[in-house]
Amino acid sequence: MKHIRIIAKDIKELPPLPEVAQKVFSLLHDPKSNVQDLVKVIQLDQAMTANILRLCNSAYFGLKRKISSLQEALVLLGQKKLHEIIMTDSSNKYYKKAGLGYNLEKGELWKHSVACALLSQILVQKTGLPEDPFLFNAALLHDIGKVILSTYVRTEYDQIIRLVKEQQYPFLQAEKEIIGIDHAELGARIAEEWNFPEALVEAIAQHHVPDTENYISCTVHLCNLMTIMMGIGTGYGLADYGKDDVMKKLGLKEKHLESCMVELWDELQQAEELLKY
Amino acid sequence: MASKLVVSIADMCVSNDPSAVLITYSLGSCIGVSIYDPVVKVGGLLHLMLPESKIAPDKAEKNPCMFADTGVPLLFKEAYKYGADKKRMIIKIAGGSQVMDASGFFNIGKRNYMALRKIFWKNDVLINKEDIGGNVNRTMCLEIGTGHVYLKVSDREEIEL
Ligand SMILES: [Fe+2]
Ligand SMILES: [Fe+2]
Repeated sequence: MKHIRIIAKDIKELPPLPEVAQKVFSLLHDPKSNVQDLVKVIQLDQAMTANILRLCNSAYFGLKRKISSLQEALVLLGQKKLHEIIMTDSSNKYYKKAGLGYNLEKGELWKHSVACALLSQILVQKTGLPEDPFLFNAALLHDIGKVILSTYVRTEYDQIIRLVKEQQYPFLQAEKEIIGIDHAELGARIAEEWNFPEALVEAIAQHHVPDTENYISCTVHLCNLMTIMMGIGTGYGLADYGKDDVMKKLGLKEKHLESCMVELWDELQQAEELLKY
Repeated sequence: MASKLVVSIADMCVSNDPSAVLITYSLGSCIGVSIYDPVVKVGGLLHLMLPESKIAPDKAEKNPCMFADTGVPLLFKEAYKYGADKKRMIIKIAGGSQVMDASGFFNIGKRNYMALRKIFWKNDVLINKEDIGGNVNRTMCLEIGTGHVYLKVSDREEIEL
């Protein structure tokens, strides 16, 4: 509990997502708004433009020729993909060093986050779940709370693990009990601090214990479980509840999970550029 | 100097180089299958992801290592190329973890294990050692020179399997 006040300060001190991310969110809210405004804002930042173009040209997107401008990217990849690339680029800096407290090597939390984001889109494509403009972002940012909490989990690791090992606590509840806040709740506070849309705040807050009425939370919950089962960002282990009612609510069967995992494996082979950063 | 050969997810490696150590990280619900023939000192390690290839036959063709039913036969076949013999093979498996309360949909770890048992049983081979289930994360390695298999379970010290 002693940590809570310092954590509140950490949230305030975390550098906010770049302005372009906010622009993406407002575009997602209002599809009629002008994507050219977004392009203009990105172009002001040379480093960001270069990074985004590098991602656009990576094997993952399979473009036949090399592109050299955001306009081309927009034409060839479409607005949705460009949004995803911008969000991926914007969130990388938080994840790349975080995760030590969770038994994750450098870069593993990033890999987990990108894998979840890719998987969320695979689920939509392969199982006919509805598209949602915020789903990709929710999956990408679901563990943002770990960026801050990692340090505290590290300090209190022995106590947390004792609850997990000896009393069969899910890791999340053990965090809450020992530190006073868990990474889902903390992530939601960060999302609020950054003025994220409500849908994202909720999905981050609920990603381990989703409200079955909330489609994004349920889907992100599944993506998280599937990736940790595959050993991507598993950390200490699989000390987390799998909610069968989520599967029922989404109308999914085991075979859906399995075929989406196969697809994810396949996509990850192409996604090296996204994963290494 | 031991040369470390990393086996990633849905991947395998077979070797007869006595200085080689085959290692696979982060086995969640996936299972690591280690085989070793102590006479010719040939060993292999497979990191399989799912039980049955029928879920995606086209992908299985591209990469048989993804599935138990296509990966295991391939692992043995590769080892035979180096002179290994089925009757002498020592088999050790680890992984197959589950999320908590995995009653129905999330029991991929358990189904991976059942699929493996079925394959080995049908082919008349025994699993010599295993460390399966729970909700832990495992790292497994096989020393080709000695045939020793070591296991690191979550944050615990490494043990021999
Ligand atoms: Fe989480
Ligand atoms: Fe996660």
